[in-house]
Amino acid sequence: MISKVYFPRLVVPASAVIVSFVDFLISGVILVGLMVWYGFAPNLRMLALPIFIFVAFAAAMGAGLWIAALNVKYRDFRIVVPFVVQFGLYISPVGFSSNIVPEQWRLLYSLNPMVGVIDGFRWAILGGDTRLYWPGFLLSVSLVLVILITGIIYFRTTEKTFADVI
Amino acid sequence: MSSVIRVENLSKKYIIDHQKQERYTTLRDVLANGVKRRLGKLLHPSARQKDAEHEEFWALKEVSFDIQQGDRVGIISRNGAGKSTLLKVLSRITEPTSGRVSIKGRVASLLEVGTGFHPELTGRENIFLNGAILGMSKAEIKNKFDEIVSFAEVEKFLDTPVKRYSSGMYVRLAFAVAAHLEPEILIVDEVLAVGDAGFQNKCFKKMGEFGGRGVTVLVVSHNISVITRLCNRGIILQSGRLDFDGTVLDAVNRYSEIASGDIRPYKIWAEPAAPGNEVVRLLSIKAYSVANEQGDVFDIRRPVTIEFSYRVCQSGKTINPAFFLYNQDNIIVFISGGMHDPEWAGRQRQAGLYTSRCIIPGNFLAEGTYSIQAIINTMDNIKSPTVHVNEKDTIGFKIYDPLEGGSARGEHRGAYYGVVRPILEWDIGLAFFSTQARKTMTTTINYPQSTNTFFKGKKVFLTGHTGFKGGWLSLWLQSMGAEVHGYALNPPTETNIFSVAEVNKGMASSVIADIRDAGKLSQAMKSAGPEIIFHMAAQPLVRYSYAHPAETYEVNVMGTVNLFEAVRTMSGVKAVVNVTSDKCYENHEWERGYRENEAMGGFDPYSSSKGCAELVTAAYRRSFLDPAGIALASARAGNVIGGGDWAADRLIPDLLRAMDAGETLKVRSPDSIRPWQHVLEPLSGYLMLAEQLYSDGASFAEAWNFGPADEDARPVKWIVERMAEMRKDVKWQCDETPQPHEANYLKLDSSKAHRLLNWQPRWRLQTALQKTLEWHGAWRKDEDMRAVTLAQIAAYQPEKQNS
Repeated sequence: MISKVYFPRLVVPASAVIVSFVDFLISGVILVGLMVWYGFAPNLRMLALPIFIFVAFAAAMGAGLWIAALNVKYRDFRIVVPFVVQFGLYISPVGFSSNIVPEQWRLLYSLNPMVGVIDGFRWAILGGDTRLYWPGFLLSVSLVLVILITGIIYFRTTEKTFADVI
Repeated sequence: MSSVIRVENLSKKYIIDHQKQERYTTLRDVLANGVKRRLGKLLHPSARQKDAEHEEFWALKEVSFDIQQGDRVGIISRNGAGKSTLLKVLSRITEPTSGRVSIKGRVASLLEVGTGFHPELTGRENIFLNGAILGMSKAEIKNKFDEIVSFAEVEKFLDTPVKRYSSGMYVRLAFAVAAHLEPEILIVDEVLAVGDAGFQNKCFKKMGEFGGRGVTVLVVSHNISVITRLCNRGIILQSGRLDFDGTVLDAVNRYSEIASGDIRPYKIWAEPAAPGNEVVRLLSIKAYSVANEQGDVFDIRRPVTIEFSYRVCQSGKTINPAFFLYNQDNIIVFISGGMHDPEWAGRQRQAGLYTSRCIIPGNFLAEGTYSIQAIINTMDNIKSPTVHVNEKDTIGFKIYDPLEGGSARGEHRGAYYGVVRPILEWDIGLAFFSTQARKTMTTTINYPQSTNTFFKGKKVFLTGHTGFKGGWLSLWLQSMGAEVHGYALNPPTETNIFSVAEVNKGMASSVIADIRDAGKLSQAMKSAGPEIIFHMAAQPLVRYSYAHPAETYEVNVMGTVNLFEAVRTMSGVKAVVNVTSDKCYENHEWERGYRENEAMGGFDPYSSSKGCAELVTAAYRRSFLDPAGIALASARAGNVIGGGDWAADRLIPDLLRAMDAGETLKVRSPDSIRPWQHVLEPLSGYLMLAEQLYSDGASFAEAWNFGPADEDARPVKWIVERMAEMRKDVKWQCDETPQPHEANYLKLDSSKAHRLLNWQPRWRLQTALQKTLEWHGAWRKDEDMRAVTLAQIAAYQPEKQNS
């Protein structure tokens, strides 16, 4: 359809992210259910949640744009994606807490965009004495923004050739 | 008219890789090739690098054109010339390599059938999906939903998944959505080839409507008739370059030059190699529609001439050129040969060079591509003629319909079947004519001729014999041996046909008096004692009637009344022809001709006086003359022209006067259309009418139109231009001063006279003008004008086989 109809190509990766966002909201409902079950009352830091959601959105969008654009040029890129995600799963604080990372690796570790996102979520929802490692967080967020902006630029540049290549 | 699409130096390049086996690039291969090359350089430093061959392919190269709003452009080209690429660039699907495109307005493009259709969704859902993709909002789609469905004719299948649709339904639905998009620019790429004829017809109508609304349409097609039906401009692409941009007719001509290549509308052979034998050799054969015009695409309305040029080498044989005409389905449409030429058929030829022509009439062949098989034979034996030349596929040509009207197709835009496409004569119902008239259709009616014995010795009373028409009629009657009595005022102009042609000389009596003088008129008629009366005395000029309306009414209306009064108190009168005018009708400025039963009217005093005269005629006929057994008919004719007219404010006299004086003629309303005819035409009608009234009485006592052939209703401008062609010293210009009202359109429908009187116009307008000029020329040279006039009358007779 890309080669047959005119529409802004940005719609395609954006729609994928937005659909996942809906999935995310459904998971959010489950989270709320769990909070009710365990009688956990959220504190004021919850109000910061939208910021972190936005960062997550930007991360997904940025990465998505890059991979989509590259995939058009090199068709085997999509094969790489599951590996990258799997690898990312292990270096992100999904199964562990960021606290266990030793100090000297903390900054390097924060290069992973999802670190900032996940730590931020934990800080906002769990409250209590979870602390956010601010330098790491800022590094993550700035990386996310860089990936997003460069992703948009690269996507828009190469989108002109999509119809010819696909 | 701003340009809606502007393309400047548009170029699009694709790179073709010849070495690659895979269809697309993979990261793996890029890395692997990179490593291979590095290693290769290391291991074999001197060996040449075998690089993948990259070839640049320019799908479009420096294409520039402008499209204005409302243009319907057809893009024609051979396959692979870059049409689809151009459309993709225009639809902003792909970017140009260089150059720029600027588009103003919403674009809807149908580049492929069912773009955006998802096979699993139903028709209903797909309408919304496709509409959304094409740019309609949900509300718009909802509004148009019913229209879309009824246009596509898929009501029954709306809720079945689209994957079950036939390709025709697919196209219909896709086109229906795009058509209701209300885009400002519509781009269609050959998708309509899938639909059936009925659907294609609907699409063309719809696209035609778009054109009417000022929507710009771009159509790509190979089908010439599609393009000519739909578009007013044509663009031709050749190998990515713009080859031609112009009117659709020229584009189609140019395309056929490119596309047909070997089949051309002419073929010439060098003499030694020319087809034939020792008897005759065919040197060349040519097809053309308009003389000296190149091109092999001919207008369907025009005749096509096939010209053979051949050398007869042996004397003494009868040589017959002929041809078979094949159409694009390889069917022989007809065969025709020189044996139809009465002059040469069966005649033995001397050796020498001959040119033979055959004219295929216009409005006969259907649209399509034709080829000619040329034959030259000797018809010594009908069963097996000796064939000298028999060449297949010598020349070819195409016939197309420019859709301007005048063809059999008319307004119809869809498929039009048939091997030939003639315009035949149709007679829709005879209810129009009186039952009495139908009886007379079996009698043969003869043209008035000098050998005609009917008028010989008959007593004819003619009012207005000193005028232009009266003068000619009087001379004609005299030439047939009638006893002509005249009643009229002195000739209206100083120089006049009455004196110049000595009309008086052969008349039995000529009373100079006023038609308004009832007493004198009655007396003159009694002393003449006629059987046939022609009433022509009138005030005939529109402009004069504006200056003297009361006088016009007195002469034209009361004069007629006086005549009828005189008639009804007499005995012996059998037939009366009252000559009124074509201006008696209520003029609606229609393009079609007026029929006898239409309403009388008249904008100006002259016209309305003639309308009144008609009413008077009808009343007297019903009230007095029919019961008395006197047959009264009225005759209406158009603008008569001919030698001997010196009236003021008439086109031809004015023109001739200006010509003689060397002045510039001021043309009053150059675009007004009038039914022009030579004066002898309606006069012949009056004479035939009088004869029938005399012999058959009441069945012909009605109103009759005697107008020229439809094609001879021409604007004033046309007449002036033709005269200018024939006499180089005609100078003219338009008169800008405000003029009193004169009708713009005025045509007569003379089918009743054709059918029931067997009256036909004999001299076409060109001949009429020519004869007028001849007469005028003779007068200038002081020749015997009576003889000249009588000669022209004699030349008009059908037995001499004139034009």
